[in-house]
Amino acid sequence: IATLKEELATVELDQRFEMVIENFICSP
Amino acid sequence: MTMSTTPALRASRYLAISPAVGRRAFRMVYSTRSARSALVSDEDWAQVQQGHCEALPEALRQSLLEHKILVPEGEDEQALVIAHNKAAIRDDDMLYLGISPSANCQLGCDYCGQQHENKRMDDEVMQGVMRRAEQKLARRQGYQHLQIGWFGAEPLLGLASIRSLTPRLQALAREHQLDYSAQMATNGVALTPKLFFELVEQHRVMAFDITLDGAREYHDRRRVTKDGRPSFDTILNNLRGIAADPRFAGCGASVFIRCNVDTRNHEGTLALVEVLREHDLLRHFRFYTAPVHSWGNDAHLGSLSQQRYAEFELELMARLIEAGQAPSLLPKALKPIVCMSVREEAELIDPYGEAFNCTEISQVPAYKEVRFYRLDDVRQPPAPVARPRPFADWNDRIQAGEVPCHSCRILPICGGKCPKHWTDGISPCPSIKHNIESRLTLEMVRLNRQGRLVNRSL
Repeated sequence: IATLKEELATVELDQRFEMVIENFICSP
Repeated sequence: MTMSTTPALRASRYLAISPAVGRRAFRMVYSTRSARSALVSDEDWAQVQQGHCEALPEALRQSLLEHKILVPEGEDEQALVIAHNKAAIRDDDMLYLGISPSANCQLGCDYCGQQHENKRMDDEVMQGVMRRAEQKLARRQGYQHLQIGWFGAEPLLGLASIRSLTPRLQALAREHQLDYSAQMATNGVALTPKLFFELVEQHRVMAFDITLDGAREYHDRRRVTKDGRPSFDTILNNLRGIAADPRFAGCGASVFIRCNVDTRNHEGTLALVEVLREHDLLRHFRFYTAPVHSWGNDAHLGSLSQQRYAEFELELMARLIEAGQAPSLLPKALKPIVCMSVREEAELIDPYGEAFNCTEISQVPAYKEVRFYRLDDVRQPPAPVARPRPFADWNDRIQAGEVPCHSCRILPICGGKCPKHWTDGISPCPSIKHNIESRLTLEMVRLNRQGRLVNRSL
């Protein structure tokens, strides 16, 4: 995770903001 | 003097917030009340944290309000979540019936809580199943879907019962103008490609859950036949045959490969991922892990602690992302109906004809004398009125603070996870409770790789 997080070091938001099975048989 | 008409707002109590990232710091904020998220600058989020929501730009404030990241001051959020859960149960338009057509299984997995025997669902019980389904559809209006969950023991050892019951259940669905679909949890040993496509095309089994507990050396230590023979190669060959069949891509069925994780096999999970990649199966099937849990036994004592499992899962998710896969990081839907047990008419019917409100009771010696989960014997004439169901008051119990879910921020996407485990005194809290902030970070990594963020180093 630490390695992957480094990919985010230089990113920015393009705008001011942006709006972005384990119980298999117990549930349909 | 003009009074502002904008209601005072505050941050919801049902939020997860990532660590700050990026050249100009921003965060991902995820609402468990809406299952939606926003990327917000640190500067703006600081205004929220300091109680100055009115200082935010109007468009941002409105979007955060719409996504329930901000809520009106004084709103009783927990009461609204509980009310939403109850409404979803009341308005449920799916009759979900679990059916165990066989009490037997080829495997003798050491963490399984069931006691198996060579018994298949007979005609008398199958007639009882049909009577029961008809009665339920007559008793409660508003159904639009009939969903069958084939379960076990191993359902494919009751294939004759599946072949016998399915046309009758499909006819019943047509008669009531309902959609019909089925799902199956199977060990995969008998799931040849030929049988897979029969189940999909003729019996409308559209979702399969198949277990591989790690690469061969791990899986074959514990998921062995009753006489100790390995099962990994048989299951893998079946999966390869299904994926290689040109019919699979367009058949609409989902296949989930589940790896039950405890202290003995967690280190073998990555090796399994490699095997699945090597055979190009991750392109066709969805892989996931789940902690080994108590099934009326002590299996959970060999499990990783919740915290350690959450850390293990994060590392696995990171590896999958690095390998170009798309693991499920954040729930995209709420969980107002926690499980079968809180649905008004859902139940599991076992090969002996007993109906339960939970899938984990039948054939488990620890529950043999426990009447709490038993609903009826389907071979007997049906009672005119359904007997009161355990856990019908589950959401009231949450609201009353009888379980810690009362004050948990992931309640809307979890629902309380497993009423039975809470009743047994075992915490069933899901991993996301412990690792949601890091999942948000991984979600931002994924967005960045999809080109959704601006990279100023380019």
